[in-house]
Amino acid sequence: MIFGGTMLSNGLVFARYSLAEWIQGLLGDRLEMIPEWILFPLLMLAGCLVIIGFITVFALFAIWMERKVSAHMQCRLGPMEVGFHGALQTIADGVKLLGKEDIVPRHADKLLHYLAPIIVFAGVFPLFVVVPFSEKILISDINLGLFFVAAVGAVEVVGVIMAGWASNNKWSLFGAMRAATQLVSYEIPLGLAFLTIILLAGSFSMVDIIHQQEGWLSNWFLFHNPFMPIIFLSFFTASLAECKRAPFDLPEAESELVSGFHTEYSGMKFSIFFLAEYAAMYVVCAIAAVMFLGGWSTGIKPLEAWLADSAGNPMREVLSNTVHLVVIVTKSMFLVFVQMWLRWTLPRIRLDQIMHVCLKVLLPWTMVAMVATSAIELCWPGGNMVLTALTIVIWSIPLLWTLKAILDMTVGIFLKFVPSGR
Amino acid sequence: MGEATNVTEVPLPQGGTVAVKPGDFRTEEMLLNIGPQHPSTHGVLRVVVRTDGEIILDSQVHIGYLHRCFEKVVENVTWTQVTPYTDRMDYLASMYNNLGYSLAVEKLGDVEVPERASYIRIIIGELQRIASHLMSVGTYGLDVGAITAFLYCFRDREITLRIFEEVCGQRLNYNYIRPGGVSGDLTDEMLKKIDDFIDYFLPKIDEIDNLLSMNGIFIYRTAGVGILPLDLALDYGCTGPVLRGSGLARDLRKDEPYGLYEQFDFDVITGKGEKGQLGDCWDRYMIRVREMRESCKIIKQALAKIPEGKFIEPKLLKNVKVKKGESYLKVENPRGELGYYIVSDGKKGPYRCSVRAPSFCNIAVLPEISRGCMVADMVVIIGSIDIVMGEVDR
Amino acid sequence: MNILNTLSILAAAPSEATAIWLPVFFWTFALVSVLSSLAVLVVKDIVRCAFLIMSSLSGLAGLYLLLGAEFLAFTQIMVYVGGILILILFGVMLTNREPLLIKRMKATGLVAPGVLAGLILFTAIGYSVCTVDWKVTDQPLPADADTPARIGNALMSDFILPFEMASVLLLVALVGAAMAARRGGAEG
Repeated sequence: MIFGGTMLSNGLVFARYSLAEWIQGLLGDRLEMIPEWILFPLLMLAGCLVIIGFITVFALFAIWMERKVSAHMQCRLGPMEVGFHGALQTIADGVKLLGKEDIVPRHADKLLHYLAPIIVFAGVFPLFVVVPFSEKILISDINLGLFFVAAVGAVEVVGVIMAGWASNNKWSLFGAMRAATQLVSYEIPLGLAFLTIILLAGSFSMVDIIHQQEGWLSNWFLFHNPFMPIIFLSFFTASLAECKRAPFDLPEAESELVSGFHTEYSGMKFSIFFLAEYAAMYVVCAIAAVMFLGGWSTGIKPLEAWLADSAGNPMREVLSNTVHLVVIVTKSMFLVFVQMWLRWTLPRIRLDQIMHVCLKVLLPWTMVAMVATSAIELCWPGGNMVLTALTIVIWSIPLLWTLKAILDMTVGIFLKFVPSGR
Repeated sequence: MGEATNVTEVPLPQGGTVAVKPGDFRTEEMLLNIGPQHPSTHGVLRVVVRTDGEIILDSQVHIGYLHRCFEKVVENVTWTQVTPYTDRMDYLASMYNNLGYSLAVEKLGDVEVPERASYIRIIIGELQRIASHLMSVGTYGLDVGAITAFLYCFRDREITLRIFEEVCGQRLNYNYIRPGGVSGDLTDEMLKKIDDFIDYFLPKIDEIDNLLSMNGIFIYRTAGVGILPLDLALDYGCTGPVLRGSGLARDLRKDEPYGLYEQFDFDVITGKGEKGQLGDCWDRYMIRVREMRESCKIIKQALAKIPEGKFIEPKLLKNVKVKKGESYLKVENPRGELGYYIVSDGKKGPYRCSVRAPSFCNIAVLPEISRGCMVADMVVIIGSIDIVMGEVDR
Repeated sequence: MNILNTLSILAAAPSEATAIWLPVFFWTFALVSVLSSLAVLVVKDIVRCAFLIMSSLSGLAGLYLLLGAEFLAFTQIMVYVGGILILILFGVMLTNREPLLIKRMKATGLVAPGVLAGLILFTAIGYSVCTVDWKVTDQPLPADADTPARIGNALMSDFILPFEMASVLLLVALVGAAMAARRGGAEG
């Protein structure tokens, strides 16, 4: 589904310049008749619509995936009735949510209650501007990409606090306070992880960071030196906290705070919170893929070289974009799957413990890894094969264990597809 | 002097207190109603907590939302008609409620119980203990946010419920164990099914251990939280896993055996403070997991030894003759010491029937052990006490 | 706010034809930021005030974007919206007597000093705006005008002393905050 949606977009080629080219190709000489000052806002509008389209399609797929993943992890089948294996269940639920009454509690601050979902969504939506899909399929490669992510990512929490405050409910308020506390904790290891990557790539730009990692798999920043996996784990943990996923789902902890900050939300407002959560999941995973897993790079040098050699070969350019799109979406979806996997396995952590984890565990480790990485970068600029080999050797045991677990799970699901006792 | 009295001792989450003087930086206190409608109060418990931020300064337990006048109702029915009402007290361990009542009536009425019935009672009772503990362990996982553990437990509990359904036609309120025996026999096929279940279930306990009990975050959340010292537990009359979690090996099946428990070999599990301090939530939780293994042990022995014979005198299914007098009998319910105090005036039904409910006594200790914890811990502590509101309110 | 920011990122490289839109963005951001600043003065609800501050600061960030100062704009969002504003909200929520009632601020006797301070600030800024010899140029900005590399180099060479002083100041503030928070524990 997701592939279909984005592939369609691939045909549209909506990058800033490429979109102009595409429209030129479509309209030919008639383009001259449209003044550029009208075309310009239209292009921006098109970019926004494409992002919204992507978020919606992704959320539809990811919610279904979450339900199926959780179901099969729990010896259930999950949604089975609507469409093939319940594939259309999310749409049915969406329609139901649209038709639900929008309830605003008495004595709630109506204006802020109304604005909160919008701000939460607005904290995630702009992040897609810098999330790349392939060379041509990206809205904008601003040269402060990662910094932009770090800055705008914090806006979401403002919306969460607003929702918690405006609801006039003590549970919501607790959720809001937890969100604020959580933000103060996870932002620091997150920022340090960003810093390390910026240090290695020498650039904030997402596309630059990916270009730095092209070539063989060993060029990925994850394998740059033995300290990078620490940074990756720390980043991934902090990013779980950023999109409020278990084990860091404290602001909405349903067994403690009923539903946390969105206790008093119903209907479409609630679904916008939901949409924002899933959109944030994709964004942090895509950014992790860009930062550590080579972005759209396949990790096979000859293939990359062949794909890149597209001068005067438009078909190969389309092929290259498609391959890269599939690669980066697959990498991101894998990380999204890991997020779901963790959510359905781990208990929830406590508020003081999340501060402890972020500030006393992740922070020192990330700090050490960052200093070590910068020292290594100073000694061997551009990386060192020996260090990469060392990284793979040292980290292969946890890696193999993870792979085994994944195989157990994926193959295991198909082996015992229907749970026993039915 | 005014100075000194204004100093308030505020408990800290890590233990100990801080003296707070007026004028110190303080955040405002807040009154918070946990329940009666809350996902993790296991029914309709209502706890009013006074919090400072997320730290609980004080709490007060409010009960009575599920009061159904058990003790008054049973004064107007016959001896055999009481058992369905006992079902509805601790609805997660109905078999054991039936058992306690039946034993109390048998003690007062000098009713002979066939040996086979006693064995069936032990098998079914221990199976009920497993089902009840699975519920408790599973929902405890839910309380700390581990949803999958909950469903694993429910998958296995489902099998025990199916067995009960085949035995007596009901899944929750069985009315199976009656004064004088049990209401239906266990066929060989059923015994085989129970045996198969035990063989299937023992490895599943390891699965629960791997997934939940030994999970780092789970230990982080539960160990050292809600510590209940032994003297406090005794003061409040806590029994069952809550008391054993504090380190005292008190189990009525061993100490004052009823039924035929003296013939069985099993261990009484006590908390040792392995992961945190003695008497913390993890200890109380782990008692239940380990007790499931002991229950399996008991069921295996009972299945090996179960004799042939009657399971009840048929006329006893109508009513029991009980002479004038009174009796008190207690059994080891999955949640603790379940006592029945029965007064008979020689008529068709009980003159008075009073129940000592283990959950009722256990929940009383909640304000003591939750002081200074966080709101998130409150849920964990309530879960570790494992209450059933039907039994607390009766 | 953020959608506007998105749009202005797209506008980061204005060509001559698209420059026609710049006044639109400028006036939007300017109005948002000025109107919400005024609203902060008028609105009595303290939490709404905090959110209005956010809107004002975001508008300012948009203005920075239009000036081509992306780094400054994002820092503005990160530090003020993501950091300081959340701390303000946190403080309001934790210390309010009745956390769930919308707090109304009472007029205090500080109107006159406030007006005075505002006037002094306004005069000082106005004076410097009028007197400093701004270098006006028609040339487009160099491509690397606002790159973090240049900022970093400047901080580490010409401005190393102020930079380090600021770091030390922040460190002292951090230690002080930690000590203030530990006070109860240290006494007890």
